[in-house]
Amino acid sequence: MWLSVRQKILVTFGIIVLLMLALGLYQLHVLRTVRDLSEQIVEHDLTFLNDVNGIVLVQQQAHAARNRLRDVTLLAALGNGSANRQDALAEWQNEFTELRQAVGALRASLQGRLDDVGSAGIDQQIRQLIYTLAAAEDLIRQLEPIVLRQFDALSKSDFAMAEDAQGQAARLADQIEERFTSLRTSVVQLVNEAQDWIEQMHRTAAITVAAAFAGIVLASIVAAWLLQRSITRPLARFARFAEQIGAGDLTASVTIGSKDEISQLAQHLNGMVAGLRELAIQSRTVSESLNAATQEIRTSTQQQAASVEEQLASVQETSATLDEITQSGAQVSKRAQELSLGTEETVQASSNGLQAVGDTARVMDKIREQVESVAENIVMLSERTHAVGDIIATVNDIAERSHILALNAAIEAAAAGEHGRSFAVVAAEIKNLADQSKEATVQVRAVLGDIQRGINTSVMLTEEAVKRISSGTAQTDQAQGAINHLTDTIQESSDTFQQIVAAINQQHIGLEQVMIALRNIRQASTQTADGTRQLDRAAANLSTLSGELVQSIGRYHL
Amino acid sequence: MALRHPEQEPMAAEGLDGRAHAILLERTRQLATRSMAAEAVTIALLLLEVDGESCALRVDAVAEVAAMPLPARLPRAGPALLGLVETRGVLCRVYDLAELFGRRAGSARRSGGHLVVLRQGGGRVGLRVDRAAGIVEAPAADLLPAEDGLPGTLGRITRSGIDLLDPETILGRVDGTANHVA
Repeated sequence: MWLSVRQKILVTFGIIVLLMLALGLYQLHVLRTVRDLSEQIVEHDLTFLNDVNGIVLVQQQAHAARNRLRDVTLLAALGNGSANRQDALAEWQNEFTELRQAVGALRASLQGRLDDVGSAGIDQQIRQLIYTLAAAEDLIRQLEPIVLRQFDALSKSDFAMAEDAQGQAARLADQIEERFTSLRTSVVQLVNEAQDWIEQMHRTAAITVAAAFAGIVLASIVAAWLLQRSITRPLARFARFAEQIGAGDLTASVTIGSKDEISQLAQHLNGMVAGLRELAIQSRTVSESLNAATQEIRTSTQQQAASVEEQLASVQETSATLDEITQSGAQVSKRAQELSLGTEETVQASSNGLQAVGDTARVMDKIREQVESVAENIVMLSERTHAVGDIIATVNDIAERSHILALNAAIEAAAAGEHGRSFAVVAAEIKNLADQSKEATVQVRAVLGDIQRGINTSVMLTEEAVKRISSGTAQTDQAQGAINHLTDTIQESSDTFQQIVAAINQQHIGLEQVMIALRNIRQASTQTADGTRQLDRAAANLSTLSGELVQSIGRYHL
Repeated sequence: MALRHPEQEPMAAEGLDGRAHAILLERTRQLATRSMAAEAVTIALLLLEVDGESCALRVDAVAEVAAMPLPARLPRAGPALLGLVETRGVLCRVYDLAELFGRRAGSARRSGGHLVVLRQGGGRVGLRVDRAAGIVEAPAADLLPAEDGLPGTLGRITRSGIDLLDPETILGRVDGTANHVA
């Protein structure tokens, strides 16, 4: 018969629980017995002891009443009335009766307890108490007539008899006292007997419980060992199996002979290992493929990173070049605008120049006419100058002749001697005049020479001026034509420059758009470079991981 | 200037020619100092300019001064004899004074100039000079012999440094030169 592990555990714990339940019931029984006995001790024995104490008290009260009666009787006999004697007598009789009844009642109650006692020792002690109480009751009954006789003798002043009765009564009273004392001792013995019995029951119960507990523990150990043996051995085999699997030996298997959950677990584990083996084979194939693909990815990401770096550098170079182009384009635009304004001003200036050239031509015609008249005047002046030169030559000749004449006059005066001295003075004066005239003619001739040279130069200049004016007029006409042509050309150039300015503005706008696009491209290239570097790092990590995966999968024996 | 018009002179307002007035004043001054000058012995000298240098002849040694006419060349004449001219109806030999003193290099002859006819020799000898500049009065005491003067000079006027030519020496040279004439 094959039990499952659950059934085994249930059976083992059921047995242990039943044994524990029996032990508990037995302990409850013992506890109840002890409780009953304790109640008896508390209810009966302590009540009995209380009653005994009450009886002793009543007996002491009766003894006091008897002493008072004796005192009253003695006083009455001595002649101090008799009314109090009757009251004392009645009081004593009451006390005495109460004593007797109490003893009787106690003895009756002890008689009733004999049925409930389970212990022989206790029963014997109760019977001893009943016996003592009976003896005390008998002594009490013997005491009453003796006391009465004593009081009679006292009342009759028969003191001898009274003394005798007193002696008897005292003996009886001592006996009664002795009985009550032994009664207390017996009660204490009864309580001790009950305690001894309880102690005995406790020892019996303790031994029984210890034996039962030891039996239960032994049974539990046996059951646990059996249960452990049926579970831990397959578990140890499973542990070794799992160790082999953990070491990578997926060819291992486990076999259990029983037909319980453990055998099912073994079957499941074998199935799981078979699945793991297939999974490991697939993982090895996939990880090898993954490793190769990762290497390819890493190679391509590195190539991509290099190409992205080159692209970024190219984009930056292009951006710098475009910056330069934009700046130069702005300068060209500015220069072209200035030039356009300049051409407009030039057109205006050329029209002004054209007008000025026309004015110049007209002025030059007038100048030519004036210069021609000046030339005629100069020619005429030159002729006059020649005439003046002739006159000067004549004057010079006259002066020279006057000079010689004066010299001759002086010579003649010298020859005349003292008579010619006045004449010599006149001759000297004439010579001075002639010399001054000659000097003046020389100066005039020099001036006339200068004038003549100036006139000749003026004539040549005038002729040159006339030629130049003619040439200037022709050149003015050419300049007019050239300025007309220049005006047309400048106008065309102005239109062309305005077109160039418009084109350069459009080019500038286009260059700004290209700059924005290049900036975006550079930003995207930077992001791509960052992404490529991250991709490269990820590919490197992936390659490492795939290598580790191949290595870890290579641990398995398939 | 001597050629200024009279109306430009301030004294024209007085109704007398300013220049004539100045001449009269100068003349009066010279006449006033004549007695003082007469007391000192002076000699009248005709200043001549020859080849850039000045020399002089006593006025009483000169017969006439005239503008140098074109002389009639004489065949086989020496370099100093320029030719013959006619003065006052007399043929006069004209010598170049610079050639006579050997001052002029070569035989380049100059046109123009003045003819100075020497009184000695009867006005038959004339000297061609560059210019007869004028007549000056020099104190006779100033005439001192000069060792380095022109050949044939009588002396030198110390104040003006002008050599005084000796007509005799000149005539002697002329005669020497005349010997060359055939």
